Amino acid sequence: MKASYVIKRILLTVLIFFIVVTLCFFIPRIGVTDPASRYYPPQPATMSDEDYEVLKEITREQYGLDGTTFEQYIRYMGQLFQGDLGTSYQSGSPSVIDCIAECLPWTLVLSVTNLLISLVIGVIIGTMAAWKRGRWQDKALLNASTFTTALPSFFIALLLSFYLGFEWEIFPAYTDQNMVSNFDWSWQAISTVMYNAALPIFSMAIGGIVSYGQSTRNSVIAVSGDEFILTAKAKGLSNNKVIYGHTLRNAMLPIVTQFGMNISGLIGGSVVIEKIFNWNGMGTLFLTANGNNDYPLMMGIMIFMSAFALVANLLTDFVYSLLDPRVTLGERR
Amino acid sequence: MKALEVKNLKVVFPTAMGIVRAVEGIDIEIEQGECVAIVGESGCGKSVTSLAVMKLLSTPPAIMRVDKMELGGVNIKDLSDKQMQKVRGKDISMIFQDALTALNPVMPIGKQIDEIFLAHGNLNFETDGEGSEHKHFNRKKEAKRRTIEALKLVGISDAEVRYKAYPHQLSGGMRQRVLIAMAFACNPHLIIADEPTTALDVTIQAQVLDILKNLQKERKTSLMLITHDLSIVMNMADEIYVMYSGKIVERAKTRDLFVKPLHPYTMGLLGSIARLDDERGRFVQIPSSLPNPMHKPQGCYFHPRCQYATEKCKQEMPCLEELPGGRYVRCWNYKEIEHAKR
Repeated sequence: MKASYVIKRILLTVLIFFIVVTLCFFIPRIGVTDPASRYYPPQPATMSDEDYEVLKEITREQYGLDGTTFEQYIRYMGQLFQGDLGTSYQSGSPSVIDCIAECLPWTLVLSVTNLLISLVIGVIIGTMAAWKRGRWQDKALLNASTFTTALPSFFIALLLSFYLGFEWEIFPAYTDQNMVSNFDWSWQAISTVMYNAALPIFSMAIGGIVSYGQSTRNSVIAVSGDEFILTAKAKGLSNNKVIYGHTLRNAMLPIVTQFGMNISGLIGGSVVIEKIFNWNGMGTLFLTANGNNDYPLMMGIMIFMSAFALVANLLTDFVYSLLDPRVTLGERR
Repeated sequence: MKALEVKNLKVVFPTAMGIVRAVEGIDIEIEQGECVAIVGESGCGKSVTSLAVMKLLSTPPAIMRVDKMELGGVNIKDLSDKQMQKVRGKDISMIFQDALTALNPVMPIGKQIDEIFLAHGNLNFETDGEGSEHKHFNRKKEAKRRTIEALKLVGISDAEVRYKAYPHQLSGGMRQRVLIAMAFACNPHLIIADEPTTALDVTIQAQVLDILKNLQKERKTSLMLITHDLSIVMNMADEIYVMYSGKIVERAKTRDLFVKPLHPYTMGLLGSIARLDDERGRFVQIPSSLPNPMHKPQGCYFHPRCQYATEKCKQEMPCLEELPGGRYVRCWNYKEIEHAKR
C-alpha cells in the first residue's frame, strides 16, 4: 500500500462526498414549487394580500428558503464547511446534530446487533453446510435462502409482529415509547430495550444470517476444491490445520467485503422495520423529515449516512489489502 | 527394500450417468532410490493412481480397493485417515503440477514449508529444562532454519528474503522449486511428482528437472513420476509403466522401452516425440482418442485405435504377460507385430 495511493483514495472520497451532498441538496427540491408553503401562518382576514406576501417572505427567510435554489445551495455549503448542519424545522427548532444524536443510538442498537448476529451465526452455519455438503444441513440452508429471498424482511416483520406480538403476546408488537424517555442505563432499562428490540432484530437477522450463511458456504466449497488444500493435506496436516489455517482463511475474503458493505449501512437504519415496530431510530427520523419538507434535517441525515458509508468503504479496501497480499493497492506489477 | 509396493489397485467413481472405472487393477513396485515413470494420455488414470497411493482420494464419491499397499515395507492399506496424516509429508510426499494453485495464496511460502516440519515434529530442540513456551519458540525457529536450508537446497537465492514472499511474487520456476523443497523436506521414502513441469516453459523445465533428479539421486529417494511427456522421462526414469484407460499396457526398463517398444500404443507414443535428427516427414499419429471411461470397448481397450487389431483383440482383454528381462506387455499380437516390423 503506497502512501500516494492512500492520499489519492482519500481525495477521491472527499470528491465523491461533495458530489453526494450536491445531489442530496438538489434532488428533494426538484418539483417542489414552494417548500415553505406548509409553514406560512394562515392569512388573517384583516391583512392585505401585499402584507401577506411580506409575511410569507419573512417566513421563508426564517427557514432559510429565500432566494433562488442556487443561492440557498451556496449558503448551505458555506455553513457546512463550518461544520454547521443547521436547525430542524421541527417545533422548538432543535439543531440537526441533536436530532441525529438522539435517534442514532436506537438505530445502532438494532443494526449492530443484527450485523453481529448475522455474521457470527451465518459464518458458523455456512461452514457447517459446506462441511455437510449435499446433506440435510446444506439443503436446509439452500431452502432457507430461497425463502428469505422471496420474502422481504418487512413481510417477515409483519408476520412476527402479528403472531409473536398480537396473537401470542410473547414480545411487544409495538415499541413502548417510555423506553426511550426513561432510559437510564439501569439493568432493568437495558433488559426492556432488549425485550423490545427482539422482534425488529430477529426480522432483520433472518435474512442476514441466511445471506452470510450462503456466501460462506459457497466460498468454503470453492476454496475446498482448490489445489492448495490438497497440498496442505499431502503435507500431512491435521484436519483442523487444513480447515482453519488454509480453507477458512481464504474463504473469509469475500465475507470481509460483504461485511464492509453492511457496515456502511449500519447508521441508515431500516426505515420499514423501524416504522413497523414504531422504533424511534434514524429511519423514522428520516421519514418524518421527508414528510415535513424538513430540508436541513434530511440533508443532515443523508450527509451523515453517506460520509459514514464512504469511510467504511475506504477502510474495507485498506483492510482487504492487509488480508490478501495479492491485492496491492495502487502498485504496478 | 521396496519403497512402494501396490497390488491390484482399483478405483471407481459411481456417477449418475454410470460407473467410471478410472483405475482397473494395477500393480506398482518401486525400489528404494529408483525413479519410475507412469506415462499415458490425459484421462488414463495417472493422477487418480497418484492420489490413491497418497490415500487422498475423497471417498465417497470414489471407491478404492487394493490387495496390498506397502510404503517402505510398512502396510498403509488399512491406515485410518488420522494415521495417514502422520505418513503424508513424512514418508511420502507429492509435487503438484501447477505450483501457483498448489500453494496457498495468502500464506508466505516459508510458513507453508514450516508447517511440514512442525507437523511431523522431528525438530531437535535443546531440552534445557525451561518452560514449554521456550521450547515452542525454539521449535518455530528451528522449523524456519530448516526451511531456509531446504530453499537453498533447491537453488533459491536470498532464501531468507524469499521465506517471506507470497506465491504470486515468485516466478513459475521458483514456485515449482518451492514445491520440490516441500516434497523433500522430511526426506520421504517416496515422492510422487504429478506432471511436475507441465506448467513451465521448456528452459525452466530442464532446470527444474535437473534439481529434482540431483536431489533424488543424492538423497536416494524413490520417485514416481507421472507424466504424458515421454521426452522428459527418457533422462529421469529407470523404469516406465505405460498406462492406457486405467490399465498398465506395458512395463519395461527405460532403455528397453525406447529401443524396442512392444505394445502398439507405446510405439505410437514414441512416434510422436520430436527429435533433432528426425527425417520423417510427419509425426506418427494414434488415430481417435481415449475411449469414454463409462463405455469402454469389449476386448482390448486399445483395439479401436490399433492398426494391428485382430478378431481376438475385439473379444478378449489380454493379460499383462511377463517376458524375460523384467518386461511386461498387455497385447495378444506383440510377437507378430515385432515380426511384421522387421
